[in-house]
Amino acid sequence: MKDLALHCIDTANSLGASYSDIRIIEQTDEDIATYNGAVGNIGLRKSLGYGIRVICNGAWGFASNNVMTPEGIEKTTARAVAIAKASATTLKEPVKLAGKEVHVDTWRTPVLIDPFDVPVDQKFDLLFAIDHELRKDTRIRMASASMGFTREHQWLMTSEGSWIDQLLYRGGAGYQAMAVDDSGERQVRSYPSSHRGQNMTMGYELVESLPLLEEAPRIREEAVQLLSADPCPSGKADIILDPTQLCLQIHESVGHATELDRVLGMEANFAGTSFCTTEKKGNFRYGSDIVNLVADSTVPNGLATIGYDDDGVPAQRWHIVRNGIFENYLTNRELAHVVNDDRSRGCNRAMGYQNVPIVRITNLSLMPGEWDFDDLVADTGDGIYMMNNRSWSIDQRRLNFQFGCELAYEIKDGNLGRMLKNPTYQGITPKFWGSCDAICGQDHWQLWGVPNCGKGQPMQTAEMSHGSAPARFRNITVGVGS
Amino acid sequence: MLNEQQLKRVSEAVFAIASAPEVEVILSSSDSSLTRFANNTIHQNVSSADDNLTIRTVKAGQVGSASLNRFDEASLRSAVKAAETVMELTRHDPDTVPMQEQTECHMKNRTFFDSTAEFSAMDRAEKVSAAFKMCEKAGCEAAGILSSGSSRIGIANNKGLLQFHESTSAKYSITVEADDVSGWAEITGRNVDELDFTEATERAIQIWKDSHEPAQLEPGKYDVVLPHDAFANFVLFLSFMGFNPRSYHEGTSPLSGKLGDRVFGKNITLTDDFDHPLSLGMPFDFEGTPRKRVDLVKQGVLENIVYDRKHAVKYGEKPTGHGLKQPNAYGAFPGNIIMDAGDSSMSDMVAETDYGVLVTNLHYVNVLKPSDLTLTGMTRDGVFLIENGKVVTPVRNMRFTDSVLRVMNNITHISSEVKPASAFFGGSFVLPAVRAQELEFTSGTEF
Repeated sequence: MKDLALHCIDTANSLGASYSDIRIIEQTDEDIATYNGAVGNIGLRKSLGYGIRVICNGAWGFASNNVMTPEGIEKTTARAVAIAKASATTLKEPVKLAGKEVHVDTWRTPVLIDPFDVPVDQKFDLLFAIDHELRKDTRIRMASASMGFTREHQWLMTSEGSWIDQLLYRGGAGYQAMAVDDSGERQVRSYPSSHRGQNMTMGYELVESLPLLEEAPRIREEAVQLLSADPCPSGKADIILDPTQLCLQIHESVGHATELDRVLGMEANFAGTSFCTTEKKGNFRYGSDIVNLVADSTVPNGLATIGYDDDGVPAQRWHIVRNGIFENYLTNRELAHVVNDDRSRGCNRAMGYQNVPIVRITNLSLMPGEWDFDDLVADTGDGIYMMNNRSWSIDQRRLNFQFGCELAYEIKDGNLGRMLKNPTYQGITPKFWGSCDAICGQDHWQLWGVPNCGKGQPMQTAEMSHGSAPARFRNITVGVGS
Repeated sequence: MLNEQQLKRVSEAVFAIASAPEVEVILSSSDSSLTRFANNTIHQNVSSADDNLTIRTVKAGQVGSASLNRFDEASLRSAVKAAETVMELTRHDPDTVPMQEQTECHMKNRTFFDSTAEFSAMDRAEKVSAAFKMCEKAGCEAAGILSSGSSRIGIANNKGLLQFHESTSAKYSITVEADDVSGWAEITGRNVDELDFTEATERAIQIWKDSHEPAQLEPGKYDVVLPHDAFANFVLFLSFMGFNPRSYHEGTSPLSGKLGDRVFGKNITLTDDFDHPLSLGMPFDFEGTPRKRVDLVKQGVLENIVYDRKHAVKYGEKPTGHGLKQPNAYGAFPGNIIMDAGDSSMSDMVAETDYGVLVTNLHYVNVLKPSDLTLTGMTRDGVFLIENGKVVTPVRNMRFTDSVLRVMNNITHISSEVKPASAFFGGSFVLPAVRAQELEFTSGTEF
């Protein structure tokens, strides 16, 4: 691999590139699933290829290929250079990379059980057992259970002298049951959470640690109970959000909003821009005093936990929001200088070798408070406790959001009461975070993975995790479309 | 880029190695490029050449699958072994059907244009540079993409099936911004030479100009004029969740049990037609079954849904050529929906609206309630209040929350012009613009 990488850097130099890097990636993915008593999916995918980035005449060019020969490398490097020269014809300012990064290192995801060493039939046995348990009630019309694992071996060489060898493992498992009644009403429950269950940078020990089969009867019963539950009331209410919902709330209204490429307009045509513009850095009230949101690509088991990003910048931990005040962005080497940072935060990541790295949300979490959950419910008096994301939508500046959850419980007189179906809530990002007046403590804090975050053109998916403890938000619009 | 001869060579090599009774090979190859711009400059410029081979083996209802992107004999042997190992370990599926036998399929429309396949980075730079000049002259900034490329897909199995298809496509999408407002336009097609870049850029600039100083409109029910791409968001979820055979027969589709019933307004006729002149479809599905033209909804009556081979056998129907790569639990969906044109126009729709809104596009539309396909999403890039048949003022963006079924029963006007249209989350349809009564907007935002 190293010889091919060196050949790329030498070729790029000879063609006039002022900077170049090559990411060689060998990736194996396994996805298996059951659906209503049958095999739903089985796929083992292997790929090997490389993506080459160059700066030439001050502009970027990128090309990828899977021909692993010196000739293939030369041809692809030349293509990247030609593309950079075309980019340069519209150049306003040459690309300026923050802080020279030179690292020769190896990094490995800590794994106890390599998921690719676990036989497929063992995995299917568990999924079929879950499937059987979920479908014990005839009102469950749809039961799906799945596991997915990725082993990504990356070699990154840069013209600045970095040579980084990383072996990343990601994976997880989960299931879903849909109950339907004669009237056409249908309700879904997922476990451990929606969005493919729980996913982490772990081996098969993650699957073994989850009480997947043990929880299936509860999930089945909750799906059926939801059919006859009362709808979420409409109006204003104090709400407590479970970490299974806060995960998406953090992702959509803080994570994407603070990606610096979005803020600078680079996503304007598709995913949108951001209300959190650069003059707000260090002075904008994003939330109440108790809101602390921390980005951390070093947190154990986070889906975005890595040694280095695709710029070759080491993993870091930093505050996005401190005591309610917006403090820092998610950045890469290209854009850090725009907000006067002398070093990237290490958020540049690409999907596979086929795509160019772009700024991605890393692990981003709401720091815990001190409340006990039962005390928080008691203190709330009347309100709604919502869990497990079902629907999500937010405007292109990340202000107006609306979420739907799978399940909610009414809070009445300080106690959890009746089950509510189709719970939804809607808000405006800084007002919403400003209404957060209580966060549960570390004992209630959970880290949830988002394995399918879409961004960019061409569309890329990336993975990250968001941690939180249950938190209360006051006077929120609820029950839209219930 | 791999060609048909290489597909034959690779598939024969796989068939020779494999021991499973049934063996299928899907070979895909693409060479795609995309120039991305913002703030009137190119900030991302990429090209990717890639190949992928998926091998599926079946033995007595047990299925294995493995994919790779290397085609030397050792790699092929390794992949076949992986697929057959999985096959031996998986459970018997009584619904597994024999692989597709060879059946001719045809397309009358041309799908491959050399000029699009060979459209270079410098060609793309010239096109977007012209847009930058137009935007600079108008006082605004452009963000968007210009993509072009070619792709090939071939499917073969050891029962004699061999299907091969090649195509090109290009897309230009531009968002024009300044002064805290924006405009948008998008064009797409097989042949880059037929795309009118100047018209699209002018259209986006005009929407931006018209969008200045938006008023705040209270949430509520408004008659709404939805251009082709905005309307595509409603059709997209209908295609996934409405006409899918699995959910239809399991009772989880919002259209379940309604075949033969009137489900939409009488003015709605939907057909899935891969070979419509404006469609970006292909002539066979991912099982190699020839794709059929399917009447989905005729004058509001649900006539048909689509089927892959497995669900067709399971429910006593014929496959329509809309299957996905096997094995999968989802089944099939119509990816090339065409809606019949009407006799109206966007200007007629505005002129015949007493009080309503004209939308440019919709953003981040998602399902809120599957039972009646209630969606929620935001307007974007230009929203306008209509009073007494005239656009009177731009307004700030709003969130809608409403049911697709209700909207499709409340369309009063349909344009005579149909265009290629895609939703925020994709899709490739050919649709008219429509005017719908009383779309429910449930909240507003700050811009």
